[in-house]
Amino acid sequence: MSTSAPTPQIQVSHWSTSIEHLTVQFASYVAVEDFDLRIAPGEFVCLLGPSGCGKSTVLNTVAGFVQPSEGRVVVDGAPVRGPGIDRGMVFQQYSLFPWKTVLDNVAFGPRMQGLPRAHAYLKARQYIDLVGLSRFSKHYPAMLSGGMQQRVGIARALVNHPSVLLMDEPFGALDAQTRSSMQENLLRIWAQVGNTVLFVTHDVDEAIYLADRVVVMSAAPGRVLADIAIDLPRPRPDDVFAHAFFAEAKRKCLRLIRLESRRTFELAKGAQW
Amino acid sequence: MVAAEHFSVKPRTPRRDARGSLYRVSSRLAVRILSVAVCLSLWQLASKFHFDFGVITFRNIPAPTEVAQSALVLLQSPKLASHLRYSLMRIFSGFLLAALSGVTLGLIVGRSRAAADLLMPPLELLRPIPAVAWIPMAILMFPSSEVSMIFITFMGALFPILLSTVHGVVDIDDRLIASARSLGAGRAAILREVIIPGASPSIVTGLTIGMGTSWFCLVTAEMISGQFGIGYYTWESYTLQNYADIVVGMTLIGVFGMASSWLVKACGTLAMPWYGARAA
Repeated sequence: MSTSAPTPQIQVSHWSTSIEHLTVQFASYVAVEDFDLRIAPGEFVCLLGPSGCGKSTVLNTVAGFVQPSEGRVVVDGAPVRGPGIDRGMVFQQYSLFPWKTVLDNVAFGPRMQGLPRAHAYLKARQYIDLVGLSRFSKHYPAMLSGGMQQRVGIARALVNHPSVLLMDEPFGALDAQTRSSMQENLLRIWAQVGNTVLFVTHDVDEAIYLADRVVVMSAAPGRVLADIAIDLPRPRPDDVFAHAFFAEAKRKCLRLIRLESRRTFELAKGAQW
Repeated sequence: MVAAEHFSVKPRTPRRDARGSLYRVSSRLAVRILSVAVCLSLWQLASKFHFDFGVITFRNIPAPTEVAQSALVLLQSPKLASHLRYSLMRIFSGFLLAALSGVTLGLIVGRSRAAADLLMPPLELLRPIPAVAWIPMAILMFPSSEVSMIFITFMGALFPILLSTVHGVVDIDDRLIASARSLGAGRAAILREVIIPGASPSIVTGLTIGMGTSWFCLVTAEMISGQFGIGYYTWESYTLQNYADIVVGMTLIGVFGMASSWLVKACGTLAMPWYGARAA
């Protein structure tokens, strides 16, 4: 039982995540306008867009940190009213509690759910093994590299079997090599666990590599510009970057982003000069 | 097999440090010890020969040798021990009160804007007043002189502790609190599992500083209006013309002040095992 623990499987729900005509306004600034997106269970969706386009705002609204000004988010059939354990969050940095060990960090969710300590630790260990950090359970986050910290963050979110895993540019602070191995790691974990993922990034290659669908967002106010289905084999082969489809999808995304950047530049130019 | 070359033992020349300096660790320690010795010797000379420079005079200043003799006698006397006991009790009570109230208030003010608006304005108005300026007021407000001393000690420690706690709470990254909420933590759990550990480095700093200011305020209060205590003892030595005892009193104040600050810091550091851990 100890050497080959059964790989954790999330019970994939029959409901999806749906973001319905979402508008988010901060004072007079409209960050997101009429954003509409439906995600099927088990899908890996990437939100792609230039910096400041409101993609993090969309994510924060799904997470429940931000209230919609109009529209709503429905997860598993229930409208989102605030943060909850059914929506796991992984930030780019400052996610992990520096004063808790890896084990205590990952066991935090189960303990908040009222599980007795031993049971919580058992569940935590399963997921720490899944992300390949069994040797580091007693370490503090400051003793780990950036990539390892992000793996702990992923384990900490997944241990609670969330309906959707929300990731806000989680690999943005990592160097290129670590980033690329983390992307492979994430896909490997996702293949085993099978949860729904909403992944925010500004990196086109990353989005196409990871996702089933890439949703390109316009610059503020953010709205859906394109929803591109990624028709690439899974598991991703090593030469996926050379696939014709990859290049085509990348071309499409870059064109859209370029047009958006130009549009906002023109707008800014008009406003400032 | 044995090579015919004889091993000529070359004399060891001191190698130059990569930064071009011959200044080694052992020389540094020697310089430091020498520096202290020189200062003590100058003091001895100044006192023994009654240097008088007009604006500053050493005519009545006891020499280090006299101080050492006095110290040996006094450290064995029960009188000194009793004075120290008074001071330590006052510090202990005042600091403990300041720690409890300062940290509690700091946590509340840091977390709640309403509490901040309610509690901080009167406190901010009181803050510029140095604790020792409270001494006459304390004598009026508290019939018991012991309590008035404890009040001064309390005032000395309160603001460093309160303000460090508030800063510690406010500086906690929002993403940590957001993560905790996302993991199902309620308000009490957030306070216990995120806020207090997150603010603790700042709180410990505040407690350490507060201990230092506490001593300073107590000693001043004892000199001005006390009946017992090490500050009172130091002042009394002056009025009784036991000048060597003044220096003994000063030294003890310094030693106990430093030791208690160090103790607070050491206890704080023990309580934060994660602090200072870095990537291998």
